[in-house]
Amino acid sequence: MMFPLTAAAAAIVQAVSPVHGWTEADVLSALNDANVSNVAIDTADPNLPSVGARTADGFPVSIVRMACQVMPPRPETICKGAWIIIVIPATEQRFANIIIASLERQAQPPLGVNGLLEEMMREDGSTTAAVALSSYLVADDGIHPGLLSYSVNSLLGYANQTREFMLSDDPAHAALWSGDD
Amino acid sequence: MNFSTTLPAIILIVIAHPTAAAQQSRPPYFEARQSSDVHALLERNGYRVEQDGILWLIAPDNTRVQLNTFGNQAGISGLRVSAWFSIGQSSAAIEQALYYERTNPLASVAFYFTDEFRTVQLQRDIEFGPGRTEANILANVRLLFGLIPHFEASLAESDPELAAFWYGAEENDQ
Repeated sequence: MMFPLTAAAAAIVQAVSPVHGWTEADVLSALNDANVSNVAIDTADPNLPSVGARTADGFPVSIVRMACQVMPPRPETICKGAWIIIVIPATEQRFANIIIASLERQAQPPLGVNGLLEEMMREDGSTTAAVALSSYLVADDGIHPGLLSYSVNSLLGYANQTREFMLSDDPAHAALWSGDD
Repeated sequence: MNFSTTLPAIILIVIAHPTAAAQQSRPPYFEARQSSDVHALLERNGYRVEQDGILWLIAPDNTRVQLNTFGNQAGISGLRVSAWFSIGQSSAAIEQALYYERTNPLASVAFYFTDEFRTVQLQRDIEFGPGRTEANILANVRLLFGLIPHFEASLAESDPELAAFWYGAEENDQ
């Protein structure tokens, strides 16, 4: 007699409840799920709590939380915005240009599907050229708790699409990305 | 009434009812099989969708943005809302739009040029991924609409001639 009720209860439990923001632990978890390394909390600006890491190729990744507040009874800060940024350094400006052009023309899935911004960071004498890929998630009114990890992995997927031809165009990228340059 | 025998029976009846079961197991996240499902969501919430060569999403205050959906035969994976700004031949507006994009992570800009006119689009993509509630999708759409006046003002401030072209023309119309 109790079996149908148990099955129904299990179905309800399996339905994943939406989240309305992210804690620091959520962000750390999303980065750990993405198999990045050197995950570290950035304490430089408490108003923009962020966590940084590096991909297997050495690309810096960070998640900056925004629109944050403490929502009792939970004691931790919960943020309704998450800005995911991955930076692909290039040995020369022309290679950064190629990254942008390649992503805009050939990225799979096309860039527009993923709410992704790509931005050129021009070399200015003191810094090398780079391309920043970013996406800003808004959790207002409820999203699936897996959407943050999903978005991090989407960005990493795009960055990975640039990897082979960047190394082919200039093998010195490997040293630049690993920090040995 | 003997609750020990009737209550389990009532529970089983409720569970066996197909509508009740569907409601209980239905995930809270929006799913769209086709574009019209997205249109219906927006129209249920006060927006209008109109087609005149471009598919427009029109807010209750008559502000209009372009609406696109992404997906394939398996379903719709997301949508894009794009506000269009005609900027004449203004180079300052282009620079300002790029600056806005660099300093504002909430939206991207795109440019559309012809020999006759230049247009800047302010866009926000909303990918569904593993799931978004309907309310979250609507919050993202509202976010783009909320950015429009700020973006417009920043372009106008960047180029007085553009501002005169926009707002001067309005005064003449009146």
